[in-house]
Amino acid sequence: MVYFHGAPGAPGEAAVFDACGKIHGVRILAFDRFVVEPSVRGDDYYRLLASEIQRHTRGEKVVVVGFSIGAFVALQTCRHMAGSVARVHLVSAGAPLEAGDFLNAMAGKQVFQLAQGFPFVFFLLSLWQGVLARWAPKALFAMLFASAQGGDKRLAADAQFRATLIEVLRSSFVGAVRGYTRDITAYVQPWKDSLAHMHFPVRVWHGLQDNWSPPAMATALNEGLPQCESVTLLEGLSHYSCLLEAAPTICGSQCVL
Amino acid sequence: MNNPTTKSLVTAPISRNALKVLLVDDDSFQLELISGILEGLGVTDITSANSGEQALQRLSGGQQHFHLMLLDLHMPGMDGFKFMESLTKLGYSGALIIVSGQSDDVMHAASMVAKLRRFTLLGTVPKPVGRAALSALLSKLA
Repeated sequence: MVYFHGAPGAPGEAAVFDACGKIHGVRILAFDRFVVEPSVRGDDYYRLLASEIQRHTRGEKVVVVGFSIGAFVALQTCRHMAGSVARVHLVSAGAPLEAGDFLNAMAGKQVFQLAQGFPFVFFLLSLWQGVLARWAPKALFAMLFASAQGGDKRLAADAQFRATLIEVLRSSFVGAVRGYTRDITAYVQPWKDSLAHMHFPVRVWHGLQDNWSPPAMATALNEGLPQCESVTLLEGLSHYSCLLEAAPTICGSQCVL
Repeated sequence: MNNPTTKSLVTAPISRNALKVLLVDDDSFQLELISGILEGLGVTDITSANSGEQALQRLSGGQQHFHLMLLDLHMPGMDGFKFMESLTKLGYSGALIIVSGQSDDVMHAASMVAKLRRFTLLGTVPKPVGRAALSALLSKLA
């Protein structure tokens, strides 16, 4: 199973997948995409990720999990893995921004608007977030989770979760900002049309209280992806809580593929 | 042993000999071992289940109410994570201790899931279970 972390994000997010994987004997590959040379962009970037995955899996069929913005990168990468994608699970996935009126419902609205209209200012903001991640990670965490809802609000109050996420934020912003901004600036460009070319089975998991990727994004993905098998909407859950909830089921289903 | 900070778990303390405990583990040796430790700590009402499915049968009958459950993560069929999902659906309101021979990161992930599910997680205990570790967690409850 290959895990694509969010942005911000890091392989550490996959802890629950890793835990369930150990129980079920499922091997989890989670790459830190942000360390890939920042000048590698667009299809070259996705091809590189695809070839790296196929090198590790020796061309065997894999199940791919994409979380948040990582779902976008996962889908683009899978286009370059013809025949070796068994299924893709999109968890709390970001849909193409042009596929609906999503921005007003997104906690990161200003960030995405900056990335769309003022990429250099967005880059400066990301550098500032890097400073916070290094010197005041708790403040950065508090900023990001200020509007947390549902299950995420509960998670944000938990010391273990905070410690995990602070480490994820450090990994994302400290020394890897250009990798992070590459993913965001690519995500905010139009990519709705590419959905029609995703010829592999996809399952969508989304929290109904997700205010990072609004639930309407799950509907948009379902409508745009030709082989979307199911959309599971989870009551009371938001962005990260949906990931924790879906992971055991996704990992368990691996054993009966 | 990982002891998460917990608020006051019970409004009225329960005496240990009144405590109803359910053990869920596919390993009969572990079930006997943990039962023995609990008995040594003054717990007398102990029920064992050798799978998640069997534990759910005991719970869904509605005949028994358990104050505490000790749950193994690594079980064939329904693992501890899936069991917690079913437990949420049943509305289990007792306390939980996660017991596992898995590594710390697995325990860490499991405890995050348990807390997300609003279980009263007393803590996690690595296998082989020690009397001191279990006693410390039990003292939060009775």
